[in-house]
Amino acid sequence: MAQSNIFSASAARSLDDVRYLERCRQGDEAALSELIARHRTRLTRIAANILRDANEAEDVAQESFLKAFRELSSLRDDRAFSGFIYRICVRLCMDRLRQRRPEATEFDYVDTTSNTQVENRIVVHKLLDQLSPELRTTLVLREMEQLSYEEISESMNVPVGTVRSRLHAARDRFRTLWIHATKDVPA
Amino acid sequence: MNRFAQSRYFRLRRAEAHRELTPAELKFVDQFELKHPASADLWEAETGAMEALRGATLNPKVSEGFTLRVLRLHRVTVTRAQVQYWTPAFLGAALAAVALLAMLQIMASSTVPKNSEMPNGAAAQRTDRTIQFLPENALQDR
Repeated sequence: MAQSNIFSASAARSLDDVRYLERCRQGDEAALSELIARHRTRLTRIAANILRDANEAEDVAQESFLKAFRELSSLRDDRAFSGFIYRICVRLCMDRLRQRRPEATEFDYVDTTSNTQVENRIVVHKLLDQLSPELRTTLVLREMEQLSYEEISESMNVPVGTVRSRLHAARDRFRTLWIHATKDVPA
Repeated sequence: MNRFAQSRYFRLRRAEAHRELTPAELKFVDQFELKHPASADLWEAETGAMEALRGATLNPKVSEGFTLRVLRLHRVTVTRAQVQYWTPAFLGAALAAVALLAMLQIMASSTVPKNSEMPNGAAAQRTDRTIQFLPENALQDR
């Protein structure tokens, strides 16, 4: 029942997107701004969690909208607009991660019994930097964005099997790094 | 330790979050933990790591002028694309116009014979000057 509600809500959103896209193609700017308003928060959040940088995330979200509007003619099914724009956003984030220079690992060991949320975020940020762009993005989309395997597969344009294996590897790697960062507190 | 069994143990532990394990799977997990307590510790560490990861989720606010900024940039992009589309046509038209003017100029100047092509003693009529005729009674006055 709950699942059917989710699907019907998602279908209704897709139908709204279709209506706005029709108006966008006729040059209606109000429809464009409606589309931006509907997707901006989630796009920015996804980008922020993948990149761990709120300012850069807004740039990526902006770039995603511009690219999506520019490539609107290549969208075969308007109901898939949501997936289309999130795929662009994830791809842009991965491109930015690949362009970043790998940072040297410098851990301030963290005592998990007394750490605050801010410290926790810093540690997570540093640990995510140790993962490859593919593993990092898969882990973030699954654990932070709570996407299904199918949704991750669509966003990253890879088969579901690849998502499973990447997620397995990402969890193993993140766990190892976490143990290293939290258990070895110097006396 | 059997790596395949350990991998299965972790897979089942992760699957627990989404579905109930079958009695056979539960039995395997319990027996594996009894035999390999280190794997159970690893699983506990993973649970902590994933909780920390989820706890570090960022939820940034979108800045106020975001929509207007995107719309403005979109307008710029569209205009630039239109300019890029029409520029070759305008350039071509301008070049054609210049060529046409040059051709007309050449044709006009070619109607006047060159001095070198004139027979000796003949004078070329200049077309660019109007001939001033004297009034009829001008000679009578003299």
